[in-house]
Amino acid sequence: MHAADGKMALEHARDTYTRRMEGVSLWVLPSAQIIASDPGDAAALFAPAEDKIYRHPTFYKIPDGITHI
Amino acid sequence: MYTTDLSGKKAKPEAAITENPAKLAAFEARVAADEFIEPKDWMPEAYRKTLIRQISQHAHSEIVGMLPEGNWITRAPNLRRKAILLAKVQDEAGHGLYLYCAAETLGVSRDEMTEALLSGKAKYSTIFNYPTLTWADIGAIGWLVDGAAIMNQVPLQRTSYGPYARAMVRICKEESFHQRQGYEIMMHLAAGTDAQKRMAQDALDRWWWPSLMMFGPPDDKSPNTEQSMRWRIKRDTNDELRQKFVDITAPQAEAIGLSVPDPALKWNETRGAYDFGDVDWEEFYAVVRGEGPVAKERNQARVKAWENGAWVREAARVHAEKRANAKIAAE
Amino acid sequence: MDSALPPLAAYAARLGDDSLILGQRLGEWCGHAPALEVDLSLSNVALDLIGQATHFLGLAGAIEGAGRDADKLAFHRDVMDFSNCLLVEQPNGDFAQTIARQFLFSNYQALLFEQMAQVKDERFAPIAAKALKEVKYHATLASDWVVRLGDGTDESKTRMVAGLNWMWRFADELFVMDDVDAAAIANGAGVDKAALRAAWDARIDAVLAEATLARPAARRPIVGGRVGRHSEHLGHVLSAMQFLQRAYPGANW
Ligand SMILES: [Fe+2]
Ligand SMILES: [Fe+2]
Repeated sequence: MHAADGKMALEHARDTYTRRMEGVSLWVLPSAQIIASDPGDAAALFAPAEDKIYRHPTFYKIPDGITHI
Repeated sequence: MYTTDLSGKKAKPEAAITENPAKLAAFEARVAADEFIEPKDWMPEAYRKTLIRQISQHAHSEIVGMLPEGNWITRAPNLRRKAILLAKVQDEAGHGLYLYCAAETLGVSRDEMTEALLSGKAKYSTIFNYPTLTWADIGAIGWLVDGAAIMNQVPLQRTSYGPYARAMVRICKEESFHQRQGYEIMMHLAAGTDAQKRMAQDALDRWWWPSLMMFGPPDDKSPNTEQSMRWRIKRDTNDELRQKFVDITAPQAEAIGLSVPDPALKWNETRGAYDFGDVDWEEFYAVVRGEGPVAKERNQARVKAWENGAWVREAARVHAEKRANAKIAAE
Repeated sequence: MDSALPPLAAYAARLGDDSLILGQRLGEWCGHAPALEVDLSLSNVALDLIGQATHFLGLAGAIEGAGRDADKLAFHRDVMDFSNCLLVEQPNGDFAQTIARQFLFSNYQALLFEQMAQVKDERFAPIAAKALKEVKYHATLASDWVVRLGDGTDESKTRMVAGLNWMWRFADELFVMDDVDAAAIANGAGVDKAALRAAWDARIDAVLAEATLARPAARRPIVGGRVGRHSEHLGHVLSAMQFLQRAYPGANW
């Protein structure tokens, strides 16, 4: 992740790595220091991925006869 | 393919000779045992170079690949399709990011890789040098292009370089909806109005052959395949993957009433596979040389984004510096 | 404004149109952002907004009860029936202009949905509660960029000032109240937007101060979006967005 500052790194990490509800907490570490997401922000950070169901393959109905997809 | 060797040149054999034979043998043994090589492990220079080329080319393909589909985000036909397409193209940005990070562990910076892309020195998949003319192209890309990419990427989850393999695991997981949304678009079009059917067939006509070209030149014209397979950075030959792709895709086209634009396509009972016509390799090599129909547009779009973004990246850097200095001064 | 829509439906349509048009604008960035990471951020914001538009326009259609769904409203109305605020239809411009628009709008949306999440109406409140989580993040993201660009280089400051100046004339419209708002409040669905102004000013001023930027001078507000009097930009936004639905009437996608 490229970021000029810790906040930016945290936001970029959120937008990159939690697009499918994989997130509960984030740590970014610019070698020495660690900046962690505030648990109080968890809803704003991670809940919005909940209804992005179109990111999951089962959202698409493909007829039974069609394979390898 | 995103990872196909587009150099067309045989890697220099001297490279391997100059390495320490004991270290080289140990390395080859680890790879042969399907162990992962990690960034701090010793590796032959040729392996590092080949990986940098392959991973960065893969990353560039993800990034340039955002453009043909991005072309339709503002024109997606309904809210559902708009959200899906946005999410899909966004995923590709993420894939590019993971891959640039994997390549960086080999000692090349993202800026260097970007410069190589913008100057035309680095290659990316030939497929993205074709234009998206109608909405059906969005279906065709998801179905065929992502379908081909998945076919190539699944085995790479077991590639010998650890960071690359791990990036591929994540990418493959995310990739799984891309092909399905594309095929779903094609299904709707093929079952739709006459105008929609025409659109779908036209898209298949235009994307079929370039999709087959994605797997790269025929095996007898891919000088580095053997080396790459031994190093486990390639797990199937170009022709093997191409055949597999045809065998899987042809019935999918038939199932929705579309016809593959190849009069030679025919099921061969004895081989248990489809026979198919010759790919126009002249066209392929021209596209590799940068003569694809929209190669200039793709390059221009990336150059513009990079140049127009320079002041933003610089501002972020300077701001962070100011904050860091202020913090030091306060302490 | 869509004169065919009853007041409560019109209220929902305004909310949906705001999110839709801004989401559409942000979608234009995809693949062209200043950095890969920013591409991911802007697409996330756009996705949230398209989701909000789907909910609010769906609600507008349901309240109207004439069989129009979210897509029908999004893709089959003309400029004079769109009721988004003028701010969201403004062109992306450079990255600073895009951030200025997002900064002013997301901070407004955050305050609005904070209140709306508490209203009695059981259709509006849950959509607002969900959207609140999203827009809080958008507001933080945009505010952080305002600070970075404002207190970055000379060039970024100049651009940030220009971006804010471009957008500032459309900020007042966000807080204008009319009959549709009054009807929504009377029905337990609406929010007194005028009452949000002070809190919005405070948030904006705090970020501008941190960004070492002056608040743009007060000026005569430009309004009209809520009643279908738009800028020249919206027609072009719609011509791209609605192209397929218009060119292939009745087709299923
Ligand atoms: Fe991808
Ligand atoms: Fe993909």
